[in-house]
Amino acid sequence: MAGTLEAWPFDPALDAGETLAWVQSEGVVALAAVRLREGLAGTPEPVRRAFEDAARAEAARLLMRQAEARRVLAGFAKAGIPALLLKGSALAYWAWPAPYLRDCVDVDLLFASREAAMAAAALLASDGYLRRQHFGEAATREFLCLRHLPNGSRLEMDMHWDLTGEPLFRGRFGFDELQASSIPLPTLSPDARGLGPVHALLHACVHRASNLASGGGDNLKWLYDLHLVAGGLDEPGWDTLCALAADRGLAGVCVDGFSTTATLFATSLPETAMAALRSASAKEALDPARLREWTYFQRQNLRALPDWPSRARWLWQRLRPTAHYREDVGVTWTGLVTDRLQRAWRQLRRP
Amino acid sequence: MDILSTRLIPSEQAIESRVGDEIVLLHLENGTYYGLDPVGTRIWALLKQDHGPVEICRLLSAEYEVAPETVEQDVRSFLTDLKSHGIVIEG
Repeated sequence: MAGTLEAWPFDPALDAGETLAWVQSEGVVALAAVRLREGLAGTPEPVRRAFEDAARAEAARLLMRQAEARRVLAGFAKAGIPALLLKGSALAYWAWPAPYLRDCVDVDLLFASREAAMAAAALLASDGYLRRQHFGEAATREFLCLRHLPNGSRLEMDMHWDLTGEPLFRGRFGFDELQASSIPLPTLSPDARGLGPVHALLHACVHRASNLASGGGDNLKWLYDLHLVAGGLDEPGWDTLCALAADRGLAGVCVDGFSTTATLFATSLPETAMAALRSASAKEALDPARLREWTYFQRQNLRALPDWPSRARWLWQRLRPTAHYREDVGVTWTGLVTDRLQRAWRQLRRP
Repeated sequence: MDILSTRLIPSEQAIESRVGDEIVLLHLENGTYYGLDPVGTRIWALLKQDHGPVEICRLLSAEYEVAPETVEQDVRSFLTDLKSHGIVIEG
């Protein structure tokens, strides 16, 4: 992905299925297929074929999501419900070299409020979408709308009313502010808009930071988002980003995200901007280097909540997912409680 | 009836995306998808330009310098497959 390899770096006898599964778990299979197609000497033929097939399947899934997103966004526009596309659902259309290269499993949409998201969900319900809420609303700022298709596949719309559900990072940006600097995504639809480059980059840093404690933050797909958007930001964009990051207390997570990305992909980062972010980060209470520690992250989440009743509600709803969650994930109460206790024990014992 | 004598048009349910040198076609309703190699991509482009199967065979035979019988056999098989999955329909 960094473009530094000239030959296949692994054992030629490596199992194609295992290689593919690992790359798929990182969400970069179509991108890897392109790199292999461009020519990496010594790539085993079964591996190259497996990646090509997976890239085709990814492109087909994109076509399905794209057609649905166009239809759904037109419906929201007609009903006067503003919505912004988030994460890969938007970045695929302006930051990535081609939309199919950005692996996505769902369409992420941001609404002005929970009420607006509910109104949008009511529209989707008339198309056969089911509203699924996996956690109580003290614990999250999103729900899922899900539609099963006759061919056995399913379409998912993630309906958000904040950029993140983690109390630690909630409420840093208002919808009006995000909408004012949003950008059109004409290759997707005349009704499609995504976060502007600065907000998209800040969101990518926050999203990564929110997922570090669960072990998923350094997913290659998300880091490559950072690489592409940061690499394309102009000087005024960096100035705005530095000012916003300092103002909203996000300088530390930006420095951590950019540094990790630059280590992997040699991302070009302006030194003045990085120095400004480091300086602002030193004044923040949050230690981004400790966000991988589950206990530290959850302590910061608890601290971010205003009072003990809110903390108790958040904790209870995090520990006790809804019946929708149990149905969708396919677990029983007993299995869920055992799993939660085992995970908490593992996290507490983690150095 | 020989499929080469039939007028075929892309189905409204068929959508496409370019993946490198290939085109991926998806039938929205049944979820079937195809990855078309460069020759398949060329046939698809000609179909969209409203060329009939016989004309497509003639053009491909000239472009790729392949015997007309061989091209006809391949195009017949390709179009039959697309038609059986609803990607193309009789127009």
